[in-house]
Amino acid sequence: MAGEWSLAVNDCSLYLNNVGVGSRFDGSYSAGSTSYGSCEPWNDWENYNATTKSNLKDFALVQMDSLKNFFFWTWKIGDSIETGKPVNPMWSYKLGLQEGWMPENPATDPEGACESVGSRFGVAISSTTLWQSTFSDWMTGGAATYTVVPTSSGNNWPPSVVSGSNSATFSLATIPSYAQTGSVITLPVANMTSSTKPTATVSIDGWENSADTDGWFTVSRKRILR
Amino acid sequence: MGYANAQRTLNIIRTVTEFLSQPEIKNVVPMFSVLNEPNIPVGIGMDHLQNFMAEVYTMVRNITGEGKGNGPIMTLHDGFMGLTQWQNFLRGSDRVFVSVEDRRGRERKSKDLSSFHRSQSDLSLHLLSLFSVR
Repeated sequence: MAGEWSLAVNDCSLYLNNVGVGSRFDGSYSAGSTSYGSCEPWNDWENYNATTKSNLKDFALVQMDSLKNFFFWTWKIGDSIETGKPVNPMWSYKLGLQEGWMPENPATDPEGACESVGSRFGVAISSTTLWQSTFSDWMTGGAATYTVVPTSSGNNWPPSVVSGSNSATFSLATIPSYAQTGSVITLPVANMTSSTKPTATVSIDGWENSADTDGWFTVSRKRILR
Repeated sequence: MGYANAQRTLNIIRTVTEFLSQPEIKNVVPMFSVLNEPNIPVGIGMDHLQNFMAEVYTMVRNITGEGKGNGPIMTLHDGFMGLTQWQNFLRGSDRVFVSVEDRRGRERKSKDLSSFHRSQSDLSLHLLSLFSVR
C-alpha cells in the first residue's frame, strides 16, 4: 500500500519545505544553489491549458495503475490567506477534480493506464511485476503462535550501554532514567451530551486491558542529602 | 536524556494502544504507527531503534493479545534507512508493518515523464510493499 503521494515532481509548492522557505527547483531554497526553472508556471493552475491538464491526469492515472492500493495526499489544501485562492495544485485532489486534471473514478479509471500512456511516449511495458504471493499467516494475525522477542543478543531492552555522539558509550546507571512507579494516564473518552438524536451511550473508559497495571515511567523523588 | 525519553515514549504508546484496542475504537483505527520518523542518521542508531521497537512490540501485544482483531496493526517507521535494512526484523511477529518513504520529488529537478516511469519501475519491488508487512 502506498500512502501520501501527489502529482508533484518538484518542490515548487508554497511552504512545502517550511514556512518562509523557498524551493530547490528554482534555487530559492538556499543561497547560491542551481535553478532548474521557474516555479511560477507550476503554481499558476488557473492558467493550465488543456494539454497540461491532460498530461497531469495521465500522470495521476499511471501512478494509480502502478501503486494499485494507495491514498493520495491530499483531498484538499487550504486557501491562501493572501489571495483567498487555492494553492499547491499538485497536492489537492479537490482542485484537480474541479479543474479537470484528476481522475473522476480512481477505482476504475487507472486500469491499463501504464500501458496506454507508456505507448504514447514510446515506452513499451514488456512485463508487469505483480506481487503474486500470499501473506504469511503471522503477517496478518492468523498464525497459531508468534515469535517471542528474544531477550538475548539482538534485541535487548533496556540496552546495557547507550551510545552517544563521537562513539562514546554510557552504562545505563550513569544516564538519566525514570522509575516505573507512577500512575498511568488514560486517554479521556468524549462525553456525548448532544440533544440531537440518535444519542450514544458511552461504554468505554479509555483503557482496554485491565490486567495492564504496570507503573508509569515517572520522576522518582529523591532525598537530597545535606 | 535519550533513554529517559524512550521511557516516556513507551508511556505514550501504551496509553494510545490501550485506547485503540477498545471494541468501539478498534474497527475505526485498524493501524497504529507508533513512532513517526525516528532519525537514525542524526543520532539514534539502528541498534537502539530496533531494540526499542522490539520492546514496543512486546508491550503492544501484551496489551492487545495476539491475532487478527486484537488491537491495531503495529506500524514502525524505517528511520530513513530503507526497507532492506529491516528485512529480518521481527519476522514471525503478529501484524507488524514497516513504513518507508521516497522523496525524489524534493531532491531532484523535474524529470520527463518516461524517465520518471522507469525510476518508478526500479522501485517496483518495494513500492508494492511501501507499507511492508513484516
